[in-house]
Amino acid sequence: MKRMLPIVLAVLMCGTFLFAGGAQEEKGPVKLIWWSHYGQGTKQGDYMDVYLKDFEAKYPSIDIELTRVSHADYITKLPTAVAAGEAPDIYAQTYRSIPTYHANGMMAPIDAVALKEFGAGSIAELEKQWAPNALDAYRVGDNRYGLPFEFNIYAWGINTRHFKEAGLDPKNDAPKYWDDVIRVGKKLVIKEGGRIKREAVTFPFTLSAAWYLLEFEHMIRELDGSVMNADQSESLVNSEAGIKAMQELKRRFDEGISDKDLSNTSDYHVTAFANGEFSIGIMGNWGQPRWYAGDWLGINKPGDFRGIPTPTFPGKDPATSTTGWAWVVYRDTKHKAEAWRLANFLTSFPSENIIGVGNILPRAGWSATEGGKSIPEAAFFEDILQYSAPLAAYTKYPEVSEPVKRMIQEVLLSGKDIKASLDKAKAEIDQAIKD
Amino acid sequence: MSPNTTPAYIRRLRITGFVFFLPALIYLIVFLLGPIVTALIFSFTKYTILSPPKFVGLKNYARIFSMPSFWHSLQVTFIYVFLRITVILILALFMGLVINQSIPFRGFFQSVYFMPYVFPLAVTAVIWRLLYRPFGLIDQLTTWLGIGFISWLSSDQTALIAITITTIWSATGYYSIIILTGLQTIPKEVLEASVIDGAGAFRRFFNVILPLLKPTIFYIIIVGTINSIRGFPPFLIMTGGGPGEATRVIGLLIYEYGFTMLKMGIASSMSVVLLAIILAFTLIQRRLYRYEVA
Repeated sequence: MKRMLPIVLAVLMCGTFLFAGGAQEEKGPVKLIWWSHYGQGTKQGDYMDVYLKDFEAKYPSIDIELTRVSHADYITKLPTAVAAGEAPDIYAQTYRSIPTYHANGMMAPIDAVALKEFGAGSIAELEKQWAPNALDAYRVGDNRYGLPFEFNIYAWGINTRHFKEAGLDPKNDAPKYWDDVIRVGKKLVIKEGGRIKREAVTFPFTLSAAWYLLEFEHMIRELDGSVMNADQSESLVNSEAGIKAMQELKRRFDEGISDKDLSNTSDYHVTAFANGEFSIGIMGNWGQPRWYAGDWLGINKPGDFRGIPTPTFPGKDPATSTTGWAWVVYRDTKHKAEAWRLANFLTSFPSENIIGVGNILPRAGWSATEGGKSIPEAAFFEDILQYSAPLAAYTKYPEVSEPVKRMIQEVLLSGKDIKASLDKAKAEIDQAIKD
Repeated sequence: MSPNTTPAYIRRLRITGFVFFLPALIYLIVFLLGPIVTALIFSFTKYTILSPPKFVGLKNYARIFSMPSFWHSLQVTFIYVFLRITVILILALFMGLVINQSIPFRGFFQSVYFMPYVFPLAVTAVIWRLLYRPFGLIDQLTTWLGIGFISWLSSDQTALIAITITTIWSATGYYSIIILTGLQTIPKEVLEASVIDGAGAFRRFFNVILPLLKPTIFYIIIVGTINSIRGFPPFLIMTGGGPGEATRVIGLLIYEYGFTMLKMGIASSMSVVLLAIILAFTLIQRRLYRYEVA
């Protein structure tokens, strides 16, 4: 009997585990793994806790495990988790990665299960719940793949204090055309011993390729060109529009209103602007609430900043870009309905989201909410949406954006020939998209 | 003695030895051998991380060998490694010789030299990027010296030099301590005999100290080369590989292909080529060293 005892105990133990597992599968709470690209300790990252607690209180049968990964690490950690078979059930995804993740079957489309969770009978009904075209950036073919929770609108902005100090009227002297940028810039730039001490306009050299494209792609679009052809099989970066855009970008350095060394070592484009290190530049709608809440040297109270449309060429419309992130659901999740329910919940509070997180959540009527009205110059940003297109919406974003970034550095920093650099970038892009 | 007749205490000792050795063995297999073999396998595949790898034969190798940016990155890497190791060796030798003397505050100098190595390289890179700024400390120094402002990080002529200076500053103290250790292994009798034989300081250094330091110098060259090739964070932080491709070292290129473009197959083939280069370099160094000793 003594010999049999360990065997009996082992069988009992295994049985206990098996039955315990079965019970959990059938009756226990559903566990959802949720990944956010807002890092721990940031305003946005911390606010996710509010959503988490409210959701768990509303749906006690669902347990959430939230992982916050800083933006910089997110692009490497998410694919690594997927490769390791540990993909989250629901995760943040930028519109730029939608084609790649779709091609690899990593996302569940918005289907009947999802629509039921959203309280919509059809895609058309769902679209009515959102701002016009808000879901388009997350569409591949006939399917939609995400509910947007962050929507950024990029235009240009001026430091009104600098304008006044230079004897300029922030409203009437704000540059409308690229020629105006040079003319006004010459009054705004501050030099010391022949060297620029404060730039009128800068260039975001130290930021990601997306910021380079906010400058370059805007100009190309204004010139009726594009970086890629319609089916994204070939780059058009070395077209006439590309050459003219680069000539215009170079002009600010040649005319002495920008300094390549200051631009290239500025610790952070937006921080530098808030600290008054330059006077005119590209800005997102998210900038002002953060600057006004901060203790910056250049912009720290309402009215110090004024949004203006991107300068353009005579006879052309100004270009504006939008970027964004959406909650998407992993294709093979065992809890699709619950994951979509969480996505819907996370995107149901546009007003609170603007106040708590600081980002536009593009539900229908977001701008009329209390939160929407709290965005400085909300009407301006909403108005320029008529000129907008998603920034750098390439099916193979890094293959296109990185060569463009290097090309711009070669021309603006190293003084290389524009046409030769554009030809080189085109060759690199064309080869990279074939790999 | 046949294995069967090995005394029990010897067998126990062997097992004990193996148990002590096991953690290192597991570490080597999991963190070194495993990734190398995996990279080798991936180098023959098209692999995006997000979907299973597909065998493509030698296509990735053909692709990277036809890629101008790959050759350019190798060239940038070799220039960087050569510059860095040469300067580090000269400075570390000098510093090692100085702190090997009976001078006042010897311990203090030792600590000061070693201190930059304690800072994480990422922090060092951020600090130096600020130092290189217009109107920054280095600008003021070069202006005071009458050289004027140097466009350190914004020019393709100087960006690599600027990063090399940063990483030399960071690592020289560490290597000077290794040199110091090497100097202290030189028998005092040999040095005393050379003094009695009438060798001056200059001759003593070149004919006695330097030959006896050769094992240490070879060690620094090999370890320093491997560390230089692997250490791409300062490049990522200070220039991101720019301006253009001026500081795009091979480590950065592998990172871009692997994690920005998710082209793990191509990134792995680059890593394998790099590994082969490092292995070849190490073997040549070892051969040279053995030849010198012989």
